[in-house]
Amino acid sequence: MMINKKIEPYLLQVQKPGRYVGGEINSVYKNLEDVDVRFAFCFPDTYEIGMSHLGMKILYSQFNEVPYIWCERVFAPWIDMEKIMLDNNIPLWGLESGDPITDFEFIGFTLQYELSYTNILQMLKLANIPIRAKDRKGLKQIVCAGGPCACNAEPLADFFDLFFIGEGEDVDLEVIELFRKCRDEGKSREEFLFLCSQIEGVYVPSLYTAEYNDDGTLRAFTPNEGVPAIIHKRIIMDLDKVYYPDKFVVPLIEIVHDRVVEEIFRGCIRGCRFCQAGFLNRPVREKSPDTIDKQCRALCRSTGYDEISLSSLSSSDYTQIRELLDRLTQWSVDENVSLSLPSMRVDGFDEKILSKLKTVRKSGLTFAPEAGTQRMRDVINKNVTEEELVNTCTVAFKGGWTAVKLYFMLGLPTETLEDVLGIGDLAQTVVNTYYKNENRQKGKQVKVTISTAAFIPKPFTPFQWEPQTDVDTTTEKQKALKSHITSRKIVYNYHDAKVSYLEGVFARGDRRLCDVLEEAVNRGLHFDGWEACFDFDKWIEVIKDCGLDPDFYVTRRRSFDELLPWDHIDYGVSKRFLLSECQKAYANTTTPNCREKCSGCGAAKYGGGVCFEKHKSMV
Amino acid sequence: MKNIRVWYKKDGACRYISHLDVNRAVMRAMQMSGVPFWHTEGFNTRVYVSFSLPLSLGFKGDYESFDARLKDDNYPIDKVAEKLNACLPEGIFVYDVTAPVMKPAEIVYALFEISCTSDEYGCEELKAFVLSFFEREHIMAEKKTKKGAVKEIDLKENVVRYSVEPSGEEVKITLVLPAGIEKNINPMLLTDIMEQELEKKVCFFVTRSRLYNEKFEDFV
Repeated sequence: MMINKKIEPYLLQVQKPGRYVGGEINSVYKNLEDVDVRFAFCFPDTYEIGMSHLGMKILYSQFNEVPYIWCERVFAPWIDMEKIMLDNNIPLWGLESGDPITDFEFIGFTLQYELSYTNILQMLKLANIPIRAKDRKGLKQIVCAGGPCACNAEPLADFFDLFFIGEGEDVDLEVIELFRKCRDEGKSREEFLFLCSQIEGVYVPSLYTAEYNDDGTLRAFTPNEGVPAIIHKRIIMDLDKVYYPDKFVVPLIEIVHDRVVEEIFRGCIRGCRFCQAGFLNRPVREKSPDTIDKQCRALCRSTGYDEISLSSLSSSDYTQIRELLDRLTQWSVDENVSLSLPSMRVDGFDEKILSKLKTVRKSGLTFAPEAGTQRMRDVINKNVTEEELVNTCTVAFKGGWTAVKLYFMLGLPTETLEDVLGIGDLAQTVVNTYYKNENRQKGKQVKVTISTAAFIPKPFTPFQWEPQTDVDTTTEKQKALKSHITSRKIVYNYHDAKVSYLEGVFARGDRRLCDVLEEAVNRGLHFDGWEACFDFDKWIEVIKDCGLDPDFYVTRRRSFDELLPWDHIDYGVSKRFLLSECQKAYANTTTPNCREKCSGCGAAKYGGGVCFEKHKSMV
Repeated sequence: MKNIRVWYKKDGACRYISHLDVNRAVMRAMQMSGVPFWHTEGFNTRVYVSFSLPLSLGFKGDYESFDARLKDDNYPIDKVAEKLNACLPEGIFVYDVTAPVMKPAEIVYALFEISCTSDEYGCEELKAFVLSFFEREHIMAEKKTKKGAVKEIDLKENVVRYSVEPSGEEVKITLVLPAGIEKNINPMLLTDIMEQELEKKVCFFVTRSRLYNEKFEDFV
């Protein structure tokens, strides 16, 4: 373990110096003589956020299992540390070796959130790496990225050498292996990148040219000769065989999700029309209870964590959820390990599941009805009813819970004032449900916390053509809802409408936004997801100074035949299906989930997962 | 049930984490170690651990300890250190496990060793400054009380013993200050004033190397 010697004299001058020192249990140190490829795994946010991210844990362990790769973790230094680095000329370093990452072979980022894009550029600058791909030379400093936002990485296209589309476990290593081969054979950077573009799941943005119409929409998106016109995502069908770490790095300081995270399945059967993850990760593929049990035991043993979070997009949809919980509680109770199930659906909840969740410690209960009225929930295909919510809360309150959190969205397509106020009414119904329970603890109050986020239309969803609500309208809706809530037992939180607006710019942005990002960073903007740093007016100024109109990206309704900046990427769900889902939304019509009936989205072409399960409707 | 006192050193990366972080790291190691530690029986059950005297972030600790309980009276006490070390981060090292003799409340003083280094001052120059600093009649500092108010105190009255010596290229200050539940003086109060008064950059590395009771006997 090496604390960066240059930084040590300053550690006591910054908040949470534990972010910068490494030295955690299960972090990997290698002998430089044995290492052939150095990979800086960069998370464009603070240590506490990045260390909570499951993808990084998986790839960090997987890369480091290859003897010749040394993968180190790099996080965005908070502004206090950044100032010290700039003032004292200290380049960004890897946590394990303490070495500057400047000359590492690979600089990999994970794209989780649009407002972390500026941090990526800032980190490259701090590492003394040229931010534009065209300015980097030779076979080193290959800047790459994966993660959900890679589905429309156009606003970052000029900065990256390559993007990984889909699941990374296989394709990342193929690219690293190709890199070694190219270096041994003395190939150029350009030759290497061309060869990368031939690997399925790799998108090399410099090999494509975008042309625009006078109205700013995309006219053509053309691949260079020999480069595939469509980039297909990579997907792993057998989750019992895919690599999963048996160790997590255990942080020394408290992080956001400080526990064992066990992925129980990928994808989601539901098809909620706003949810990008639900469409990007089709089809649903489950891990067996056997594998989950084994992996949980190993992780608890190697980390000392006493909490396991069973992670997925909708945990109660795991087909063998009860068997799984039975199995896990057989040992977890004795070892004082508690289980939590995030992403529970209102309709997937019963006393049996509840009793397993509170065997050791009682955790919070959060549900996401997403919309306040049945009509609105039908539009977004959420497929839960008020009755189901009431039943679930009744079960929870009988089980001793007194606090429930509910998540909603504002600004969904076709939303009316009635739908907005319906959110408050639904919360009130939950409060009333509590007081109908005769066995409630005397003297205890119920607390219903509702949070609203502004709906941001995302690529690869049926709402990808929809306009996003502007800042003023969102603010008005928040106010209307706030004044509609009269009970003091309801707490209402909402996201800043301006933050959502800026997210909207980049979510469906194109390559012309690269200049905006670079200019924004030059003017000192980054950590935009943090209230302390977010400066909306300055952002709008930058976008306009670059000759662009933010409303073009955010509030404009796209026509169904418009060429979209992400149309050259294929996640397995056809555009035709997305379009039909959008039209069904306008008609307030729902679509059955994948287990009830196949709706022919296109993901069956991967030849596995839920598409090939035996369904009730087929028997 | 058997009470034990676990003695450890805190250094490396773990110097830069807070007491609460150390607490969590230790609890996790206890959970992982397979040693039959006793858990509390409250609503939120957890492994029982009680630290003798928290150590500030940034300090190295050579004489740190926490108390725990073993469910099994016959469990070999010498195995505890080995098992814990296998599960602790590098910066926390258990060097002994004993039966507790004194209560943590008996701690009244702490011994600190502070190394002062500078690229910009010579050793003699630095030593002269530090000596004259400690020879002052009063060293006034503002200290936050537990209730959040700011109180002015004279640090000089609170310095029980001190010595200043050159040691290689650095200056070493040895300092005994009040410590424990009744009265606690953080040596950073002193080094912060020195840092402010010195024009050029000087680094102070603080080690807490001993704890004493009121008779200046080692805390055991």
